[in-house]
Amino acid sequence: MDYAYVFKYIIIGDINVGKSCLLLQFTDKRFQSAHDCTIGVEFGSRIVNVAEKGVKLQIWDTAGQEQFRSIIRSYYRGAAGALLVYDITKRTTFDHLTMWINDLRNYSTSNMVIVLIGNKCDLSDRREVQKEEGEAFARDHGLIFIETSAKTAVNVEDAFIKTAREICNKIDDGVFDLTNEMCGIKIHHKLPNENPNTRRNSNPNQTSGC
Amino acid sequence: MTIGSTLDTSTNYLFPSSTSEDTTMRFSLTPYPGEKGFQQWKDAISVAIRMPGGLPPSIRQKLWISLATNYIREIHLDWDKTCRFAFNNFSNPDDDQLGIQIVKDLHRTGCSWSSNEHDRATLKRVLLAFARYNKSIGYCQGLNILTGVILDIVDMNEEYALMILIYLIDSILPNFFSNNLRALAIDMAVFREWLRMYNSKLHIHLQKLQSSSHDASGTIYEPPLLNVFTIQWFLTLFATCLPRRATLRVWDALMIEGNEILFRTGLVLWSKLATSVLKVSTADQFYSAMATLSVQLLDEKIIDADNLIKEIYNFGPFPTPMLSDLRQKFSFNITPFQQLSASTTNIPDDGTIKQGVVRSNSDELKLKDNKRSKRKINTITDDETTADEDIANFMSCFAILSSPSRNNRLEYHSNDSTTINNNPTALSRLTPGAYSNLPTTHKTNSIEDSLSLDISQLRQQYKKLKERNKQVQIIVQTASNEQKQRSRAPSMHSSTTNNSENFRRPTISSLEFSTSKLPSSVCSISSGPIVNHLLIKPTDIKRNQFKKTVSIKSSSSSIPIPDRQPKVLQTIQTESIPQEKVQRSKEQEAEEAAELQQELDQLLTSLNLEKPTTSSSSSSSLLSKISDEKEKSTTHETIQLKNVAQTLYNYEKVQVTTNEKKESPNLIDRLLTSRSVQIPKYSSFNPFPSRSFNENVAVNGYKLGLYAPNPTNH
Repeated sequence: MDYAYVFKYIIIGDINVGKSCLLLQFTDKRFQSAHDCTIGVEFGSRIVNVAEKGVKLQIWDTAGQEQFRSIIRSYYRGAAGALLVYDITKRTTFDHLTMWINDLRNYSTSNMVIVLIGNKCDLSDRREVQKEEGEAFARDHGLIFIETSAKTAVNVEDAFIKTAREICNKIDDGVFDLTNEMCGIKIHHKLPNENPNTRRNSNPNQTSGC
Repeated sequence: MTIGSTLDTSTNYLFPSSTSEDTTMRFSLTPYPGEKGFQQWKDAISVAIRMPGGLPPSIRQKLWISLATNYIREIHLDWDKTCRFAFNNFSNPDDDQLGIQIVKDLHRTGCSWSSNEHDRATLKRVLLAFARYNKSIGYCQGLNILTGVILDIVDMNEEYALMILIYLIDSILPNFFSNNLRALAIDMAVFREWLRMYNSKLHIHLQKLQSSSHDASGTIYEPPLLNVFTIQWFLTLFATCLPRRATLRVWDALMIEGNEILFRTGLVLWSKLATSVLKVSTADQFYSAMATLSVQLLDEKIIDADNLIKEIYNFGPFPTPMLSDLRQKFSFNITPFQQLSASTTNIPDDGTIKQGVVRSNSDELKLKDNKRSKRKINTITDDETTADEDIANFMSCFAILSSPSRNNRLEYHSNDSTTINNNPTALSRLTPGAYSNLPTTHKTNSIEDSLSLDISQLRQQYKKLKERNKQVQIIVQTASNEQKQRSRAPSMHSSTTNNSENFRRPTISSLEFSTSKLPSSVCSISSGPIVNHLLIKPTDIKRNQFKKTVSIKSSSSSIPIPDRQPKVLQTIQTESIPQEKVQRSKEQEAEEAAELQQELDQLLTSLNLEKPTTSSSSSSSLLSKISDEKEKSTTHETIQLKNVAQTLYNYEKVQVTTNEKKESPNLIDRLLTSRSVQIPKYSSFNPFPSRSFNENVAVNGYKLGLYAPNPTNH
């Protein structure tokens, strides 16, 4: 599938909130209950259609444990979108959101689109964080909010696509400087015969938004 | 047995002649007594593990257990006592926290690992036992995978598993999992440097891919490409990237030869992957290609176990001398983090270095690291001081591969070479997490040279720090006076507020000013072209959400001034009433801390904005006024010298942390007491102590009373 842009995403949040499962559900459309814990950082990608344009999402899935925070911080930069995940059945994961937001502020690129994800919404009987609380938090911090279930795939696709759409909107509004790859967006150049040894054009021609 | 037939003298050690007795013994593979005997035995094993097919499983089990037993004996650990302590069924205070995390990961310990509930319970007990034994590590993800492998080898025997885990973590991989993976950070830098020498073609290619992602100023934001994979390889000791057979053979070598095996294995693997990696032309393609390659690696399609081991040993005898040099170099380079804030290097536009401690032409890597560290200083939000430094250190490790000569904003603004030295906050204007590209015009000389240079530089730096400390002391004390003034004179509300208002104005102006001209003034990320929308947005974050991280930066606290003003007043009022003071809520304290931090920063600025010479003279006059302050004596301590500037930075956090621990009468008192507690032992930090004895663990062990009073033969 062809694509016009590459967007970099990062998935962050407390340990065991389902970050890797969200990614797996999104990239492979499957759920694995016994997913190995993420050591450091892992990588996934998928091409999606946003506003009739192909966009390749390049997603960094990170370890949630405290010890790894210094490692994952170096991946904040150069990401256009961040998926900040908490577990609706674990209050503490919601309480830590402020810390994550602060981390993002300090280490991320400007204009990053952040989506707050309340995951595991299939376990509504064990819910500890109400949807309204998540919405309020997102409103207070200027985030997009969505509740998902990596298990049942509810809203998973939406979470990623919404982020991409928001980034596209920002591109249209001229918020992102596309000559600067630091914003986490690359324009994909279709080369008829891509020669691996050819260096990528350092100054891509600006194209209109999505 | 095939091994026995091919080994000559070694056979005696591997398979003692009196087999009838030995086979029945639990430790039939134990080395001969004495250090020499042990070494001979190890040499013999070293030969055996290189043979095609490697060790048979039964021998492997005995080998691992023998090595672990030997280690336990070497460190005089009372094993029975340790086991009783580590495996007790009673709950310890820390257990809940540890247990929760361990339980979460039990189901996530490798898909291939046993799904049996009983086995999982065993895994949990061993992990918990290790966490109780080594409190400095506790539980870190990755340990579950390692323990899973070990349990498989020792037939689920918990005690053996714990013993081997202790040997592996404490002796083979000292500090690897502790201290926010600090040693791993160093090793990543070392690894990249070694790869540069081992496979320069691959290194250059990767560097090219990485540096293609940069902004207009040349700042690379792409982390070193190798890291994603190499970090995981190192942390799981290849258990997740190689087939089990190969993993175990690497582990055999690791147990015998030490952690250098990790580097050699990593280098061999990357070189095998190089053919494919060299074909990709973007970082994006690299990661996509690696997804396929990882699967191939796991299927033994890239390299088989025998060849892998062969190549690992082809590097030559152990240890490779270069490794310890590189480690020293990089651990030194990223070590004097907090000293940087006091005396930093400035690079004028013409590229010559006018002032600063790190002047060595031969050591531009260090320079880069320092820059990186500086950049991180102001962006710290963690609860722990040490953690913050580690972040900076870790970040600095990532820097080694930065691309050649492009000036970034740092150099651009740093043409004032004198004032920056006194002002650690000046660093905040640099975008956090950036990867700089300093001109790499000089080739690194021999490591010995740079080390000897480093020592003399350290001496110089120490002198400077001493001077600096005097100044900082004054700032702290002035701030303390102010604090007292505020709390003692409630009738002075308006004047105090005006005062702080006055303090603020110059900051704001200097903040704007600094973006264009003054590199040394207090400023913030807002000075760079990159501003996170979250920062500019007037968010109404509830104060209590900031319990721990207060308002983070001088910059962020200086932005929403108008909103804060009434609150400031309120704080002062509350503070002036002694009865309420005791009941002060955390939010108020946090605010107060932020206020004070801001003022401290401003004081720093005002000192710096004047000529440095006058600042020091005015300092001494101030000093005489407040010489009766009791803080003075505390601040004179040598180690604190290095930390003063850093501590000022972390002031607000320190504040909050201390508040949580204990209420003490004076903010400054609290700062000073907490400072002496939080000092990281960088000066004596040795990330890789001798294999036989790990100081940290020993101390830990003594505290726990796990050591036998006399060396016991176990």
